[in-house]
Amino acid sequence: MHGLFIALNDLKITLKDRKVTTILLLMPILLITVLGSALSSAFTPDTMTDLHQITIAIVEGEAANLNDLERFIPMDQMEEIETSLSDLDINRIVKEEVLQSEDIKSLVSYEVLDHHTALSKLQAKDVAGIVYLPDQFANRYIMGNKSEIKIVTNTDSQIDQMILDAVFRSFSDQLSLPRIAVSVVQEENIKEGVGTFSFSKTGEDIQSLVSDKGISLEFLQKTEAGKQLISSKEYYTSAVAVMFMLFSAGYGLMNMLHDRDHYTLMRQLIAGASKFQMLLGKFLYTLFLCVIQLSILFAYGYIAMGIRLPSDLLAFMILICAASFAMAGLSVLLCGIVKNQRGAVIFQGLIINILSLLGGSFIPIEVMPKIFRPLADLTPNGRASRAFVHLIEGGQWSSISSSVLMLFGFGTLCLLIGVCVFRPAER
Amino acid sequence: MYMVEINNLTKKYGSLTAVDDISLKIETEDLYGLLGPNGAGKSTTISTISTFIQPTSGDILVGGHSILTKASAIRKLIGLVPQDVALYPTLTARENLSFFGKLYGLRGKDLSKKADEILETVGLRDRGNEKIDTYSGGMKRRINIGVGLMNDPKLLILDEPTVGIDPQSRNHILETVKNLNQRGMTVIYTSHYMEEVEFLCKHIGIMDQGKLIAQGSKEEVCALAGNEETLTIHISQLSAQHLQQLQTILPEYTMHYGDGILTVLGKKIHSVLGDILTILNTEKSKITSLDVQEPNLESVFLHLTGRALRD
Ligand SMILES: Nc1ncnc2c1ncn2[C@@H]1O[C@H](COP(=O)(O)OP(=O)(O)OP(=O)(O)O)[C@@H](O)[C@H]1O
Ligand SMILES: [Mg+2]
Repeated sequence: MHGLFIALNDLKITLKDRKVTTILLLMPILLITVLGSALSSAFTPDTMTDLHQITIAIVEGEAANLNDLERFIPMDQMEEIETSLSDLDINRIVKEEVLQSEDIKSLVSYEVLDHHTALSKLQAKDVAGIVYLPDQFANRYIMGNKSEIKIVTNTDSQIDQMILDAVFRSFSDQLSLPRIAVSVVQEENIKEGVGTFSFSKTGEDIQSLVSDKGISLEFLQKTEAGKQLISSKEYYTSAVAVMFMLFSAGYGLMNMLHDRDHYTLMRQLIAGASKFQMLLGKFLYTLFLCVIQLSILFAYGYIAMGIRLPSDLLAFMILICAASFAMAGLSVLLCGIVKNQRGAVIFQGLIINILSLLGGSFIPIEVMPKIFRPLADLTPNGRASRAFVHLIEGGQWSSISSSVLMLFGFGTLCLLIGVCVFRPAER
Repeated sequence: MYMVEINNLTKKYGSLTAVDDISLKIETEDLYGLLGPNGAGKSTTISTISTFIQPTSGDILVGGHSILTKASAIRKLIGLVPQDVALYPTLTARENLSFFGKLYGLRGKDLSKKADEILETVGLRDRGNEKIDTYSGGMKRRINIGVGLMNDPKLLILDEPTVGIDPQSRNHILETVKNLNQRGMTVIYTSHYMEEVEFLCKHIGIMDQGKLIAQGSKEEVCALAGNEETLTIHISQLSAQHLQQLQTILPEYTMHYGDGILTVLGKKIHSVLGDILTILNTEKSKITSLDVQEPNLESVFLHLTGRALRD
C-alpha cells in the first residue's frame, strides 16, 4: 500500500510539472509528427508524375575510413565490420533507399559522376543540380559528428531547387533529428542539475524543430513477404515512443534522488515505508507513466497521423504492459546503483544514447551495420519497438510472445538486482 | 523511565568517526538539547536514534525498544524533523501533510482533521492550500515541523529546525516546541545556537568531534565551566606581545584571540576589567564592542575545547 501512495504522489508531481510533461509527451509527439510526415501525403504519386522530371548528378563521398575506429575494435573483427559498414554507406543509402523509392523515382533520376564532369554538365544545364554526399559518413555518424549533404543547383530553376531541397533536407532530418531531440532533452536535464530551467527556451527549440521539418520522405522498410508494408510514421511512432520511455525510467531515478537529497526518503522510512515499498513506489510510478505515455503516443499516431493499430489489440496491450514493466524494472535498478545527480546525468547522456542507437530509434535497424543488429534485440527498447512494428505489420501474438517474455524477464532481473543493492541511507 | 538510552554508540564512515562512543539517557517528557558545532555528529546521532542509519557499534533503546531489533516499533513512537526542509516543493502544505499522513495509515476524515489540526498548531491554517515553493523560509520550516507531528509522536526529534530564518518565525517555532513539551511530548532538539538551547532545554548534551563532552541539567553543565563569566571584546588588532602581557598579569584567566575577538574566561571579570582595558588602550586599533556574559553554554564549550562554539 505504501508503494502505491508513493507512486501516486510522484505521479501527481510529474503530471503537474510542465517541463517534465513537455519532455515526456510533447517532444515525442513533435518528433513523431516531423519524422512521420510523408512526402506521399503532400504529393500523391499521380500528381508527382505530372510535375516535370529532373536529372541530377551525384558526387559520391569518400568511403568511411576505418582507421579511426580501429582503436575501439579488435583486429580480427575488422574485416567483418568492413563489410557491415557498407550498410551505413551513405552512397548506397541515397542511391538505393532514397532515389530508388517509389515516390521519388518518378520525380528524380540520377547519374553518378566525378566532380569535374558534374560541374560541366551543370553549366551545360544537362543536370538540374549536383548533390555532394559527405565523406567518411559512417565514422562520423557513429561518433556523433555532423555530416553535411551539399547541393549545388542551377539558379534559374526554382522548382528544381525546391524538389531537391525537399528530398534531401527531409532525408538528412530523418537521420539527424532523433539525435538532435535527444540532445535537447539531455542538455535540459543536465542544466537542471545545476541551475534553473527556462521553459521558453525549450519551447523555442521545439518550434525550431517543427519549422525545420520541410517535407519528409516516405521511408519504406523492408518487410517479410506476406506482411503489409510498414510506413515511416508507423516505424517512428514505435521507435520514438519506446525511446522516450527510457526518459520515464530516468524520471523514476530522478524522483528517488530528489527523495534522497531532500530527506523525504528518510521521512518515508520513518513513516513506516520499508526499503522495498520505496522501490515499489518508483517501480509503479515508472510503470504507470510509461503506460500513459505509450497510450497517448499511439493514440496520437492513430488519430492525428493515421497510423494503423494492430489487429490483435490484446497482444498490443500486453506488449504495452511488458515494455512498461521492463522500464519500471530498469528504473528500480537505477535507483539501486545511482546515488547522485552525476550518475543520473551519465544515464541521461550516455546510456539513453547507446540504448536508443542500438535499439533503432535514431536510424532504422535495417540501415544499421550488420554487427549491431543482433544487439537491438538485446536492448529492451529495441526489442519493444520491433515488437510494436511486428504487430502493426499484422503479426499475431505468436510473433511477439518471445519479446514479451524477454521484456518481463529483463524487468524482473533489474528489479531483483535493484532491490538487493538499494541502500537508502548511503550517499 | 527513560525515553531514550544511548549505550556506547559509535558510527564510522570509512576512516571518519562521526560519532565516537557516546552514552546518554533522556527521560520521558524531557526537553533535551544537543548542542555542538558543524560536523560534531548531531545529525548522525539523531539519524541513528530514528533508525534511519545503523550504528557501527553500540545500541540505542527508544521507549524500551532496541534500534537493532525493533526498528518498526520505534518508528511508530517518533516524529522526525530533518535538518533540511523535507517536503515536496511543488505540492501544497496540505498535500504534503496528507501524503505522509497516508503513509502513517490515516485515511479520509481522520486525515483531513489531522492536517487541519497541524496547520493550526504551526500557525499556517489559512495558507495550507498554497504550494511550498511559494512559502517563505520560516513558513517552510514550520510546515517541516508539522509533518513530523502527523503521527502524534511520543518523541519528537528536531534537527536544527531554525536554521536561516527570521526572528519572528524562530520565536514561533521555539514557542511551539515548548508547548508540545508541556503537553507531555519528549523532545530532542539539536542546534548550534546556544541561546536557543539555553532558552528551551531542561537537559543538555554538548557534542564535539563525535564525542559527548558534557551533559546534565542546564545548571550542571554551566557549572562545568566553574561558573566562569565570559568577556568578549571586539578589537581588530591585538599583538602577540600584548596578549602575552595580559596572560602574565592575569594567570588565572583563560584567553583566546581570533577573528578580531578577544575572549577572556574567568570568575569576577568585572574586578579585572580595568587592567585589561589599560593594556588594550595602548593598541593602535580601537575597541568596537565589549560584552560581559554570565556563565553560559558558550563559555562551557570554550572552557572544554578552547574553541568558540561558532566559528
Ligand atoms: N553519509 C555520510 N557519509 C560520510 N560522512 C558523513 C555522512 N554523514 C555525515 N558524515 C560526516 O560525519 C561527520 C558528522 O556529521 P553530522 O552531519 O552528524 O554533523 P552535525 O553535527 O549534524 O553538523 P551540522 O551542524 O553541520 O549539521 C561530518 O564530518 C560529516 O562530514
Ligand atoms: Mg546536522
